Amino acid sequence: MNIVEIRDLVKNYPLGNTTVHALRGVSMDIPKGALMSVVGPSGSGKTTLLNIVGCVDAATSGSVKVGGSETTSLTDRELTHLRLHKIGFIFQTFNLVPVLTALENVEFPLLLQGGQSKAKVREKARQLLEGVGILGHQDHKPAELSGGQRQRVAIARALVTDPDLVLADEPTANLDSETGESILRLMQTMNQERGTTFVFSTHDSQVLRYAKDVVRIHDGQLVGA
Amino acid sequence: MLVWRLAWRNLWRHRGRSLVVGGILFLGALLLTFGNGVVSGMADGLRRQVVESFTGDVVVVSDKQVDDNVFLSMMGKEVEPLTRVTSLQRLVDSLSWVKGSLPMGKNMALALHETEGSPGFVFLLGVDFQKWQEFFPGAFQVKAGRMPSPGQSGLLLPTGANEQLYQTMGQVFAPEGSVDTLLLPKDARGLSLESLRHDLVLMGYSNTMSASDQRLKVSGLGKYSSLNTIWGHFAICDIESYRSVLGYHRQDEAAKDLSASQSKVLASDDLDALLSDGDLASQEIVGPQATGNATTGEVDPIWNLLLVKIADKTPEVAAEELDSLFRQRSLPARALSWHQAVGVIGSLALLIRGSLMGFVGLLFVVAAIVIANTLAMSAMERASEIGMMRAVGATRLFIAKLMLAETTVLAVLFGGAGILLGACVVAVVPHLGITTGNDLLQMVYGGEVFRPLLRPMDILLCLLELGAVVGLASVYPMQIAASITPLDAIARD
Repeated sequence: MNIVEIRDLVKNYPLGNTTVHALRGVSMDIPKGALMSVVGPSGSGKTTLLNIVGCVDAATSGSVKVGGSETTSLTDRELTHLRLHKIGFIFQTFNLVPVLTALENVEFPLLLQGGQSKAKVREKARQLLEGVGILGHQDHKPAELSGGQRQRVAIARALVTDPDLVLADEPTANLDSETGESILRLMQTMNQERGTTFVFSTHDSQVLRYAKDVVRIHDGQLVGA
Repeated sequence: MLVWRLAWRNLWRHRGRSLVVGGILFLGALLLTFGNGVVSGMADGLRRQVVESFTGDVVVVSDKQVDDNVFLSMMGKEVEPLTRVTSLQRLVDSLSWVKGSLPMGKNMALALHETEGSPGFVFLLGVDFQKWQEFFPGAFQVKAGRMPSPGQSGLLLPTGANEQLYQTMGQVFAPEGSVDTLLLPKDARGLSLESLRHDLVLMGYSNTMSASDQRLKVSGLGKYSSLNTIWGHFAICDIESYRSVLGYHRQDEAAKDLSASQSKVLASDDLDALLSDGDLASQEIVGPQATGNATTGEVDPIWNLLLVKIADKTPEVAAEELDSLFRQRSLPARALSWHQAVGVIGSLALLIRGSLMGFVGLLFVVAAIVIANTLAMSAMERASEIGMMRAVGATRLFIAKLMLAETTVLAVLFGGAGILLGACVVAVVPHLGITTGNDLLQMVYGGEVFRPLLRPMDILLCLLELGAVVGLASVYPMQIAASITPLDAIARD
């Protein structure tokens, strides 16, 4: 069963008087439970692909289905709902809310969802922080955490809503190799233990061994798996 | 709860910016509160010192009176005689929202020099002293001499009028007995007491050309308790003397005439013959005549104004309602609000009040623009953070609420402090005894002493104004923040 189905996806950016063709008719499926890496050099279109799949950018043409929903025809409110309930995000620069503690950052999506008791939200956030190995830093603000610790918090936050899909755009790009590998091992563990679908982009071929599936992209086109 | 927690921490994190916006809100709220206090104090002061001391809320005049400005018209243009005052007063007093009414004569009189000097002039009020004191308690402070007793003729001369008479006539007037020289015109303080004159010959300045001269004893010299620089030109005399000066029929004569007429009516069955009776037809009419009711025997003497104090209505609305009633009853009168009746003072008061409110409004807009600009810049600086929140599922509404919450927290803390301090300043200022003799400033002060005033309604108004500033200042930043997309966060990376 596919969690994501992409057909003839095209994304063009206007740049001055010219048009940048970021994606040129990409078609692919991402099966549920995958741990997929999208690999390609800088400017190849990996981030654009992840952004469109993650409903933070709109396609120029083509079809993208996430969890069965055709995202190209959804309203902003519906896309926001989809991101909140079905998709988890891990950013390259460990984007956390700076004024919230590690624990509160993990609680944040659950509080946005609403409908759960404060105690339940807190307990779930603690479990995830424990799962990513930084429960001891739960009361620290992002500025008081190292890059690796922040990325672990970001992973916990991405997983806290039990999403169908977690997207990570170059999650190890700003980390040293040792910390980067620990983050990838963590994603691998979460994928195996929880069955969460992970898609991460990278241009570092050293990290490919952690992926079950690899998709190569070049000049906006898939060039092989 | 999440929104408020985030808002509070964001404000704390960006303390510098929060202090700038908070400072603007604090100053804005302080000035708004103080401005409202000044406007309210002015309104209250004017009401107290004009309405409660001199004019009443509504002034009823003759329907023949063309000019609305009956108190302060240039060169004392004549105020038309008001007839059927008894009927008017009975009607007015029967209204539930009327607190009381007082008939009054008001016109200008020439003060004749008894030798060869130039005449002077005074604005002359004709009153029943007892009723006038009851209607305007404490409005005039007699500093020398005394207030004429009921039924006694006499003149109360304010220091302002005395000064004016001295400037034009070169004569100084004072009641008999000892007089504090400080009450006399500045240049005349060296004069001997023997040179002071104790009576004044007045002649009505009237279109009827029927005025006669009348010698009036100066009973008292003093000051109006408020706005003496303005009202100080109005001398007050008993109504009978006033009518004589203006050439109006005296009340007792009219009553006597009416009694004679009544006798004839009662003695004769032939009304036609009675109407052609030479005695009645040949009465010498030398001026506006007191009207009589042949059926009831009532005498209705001439006045110029009927002053009315009201409750629970604005003077403008009350005047309109009275006008309507007068038309229904065919009474020859119309009603003016006190603003209309005092002419330039009323207009000036409204102008000053309007200017103050305009200043407060301008402050309001400037504060809103500065705050909106600062918050909008802040929202743009935080595009990455806001975009990230949007990426993980925060709606546009959530972001808008967050911005509004941040502004609201600042408004409550700093704006609240500004209102509190403003209220304290308004409470303290009247005790500082800031006074002025300047007429224009007296309009702003609402009297001689600067007394800003804050009522619960004014504080509520301040809160509403602050709320409006916050609302207005938040709209643009909320729009900016809510329009930030998750892609903006990623693009910033």
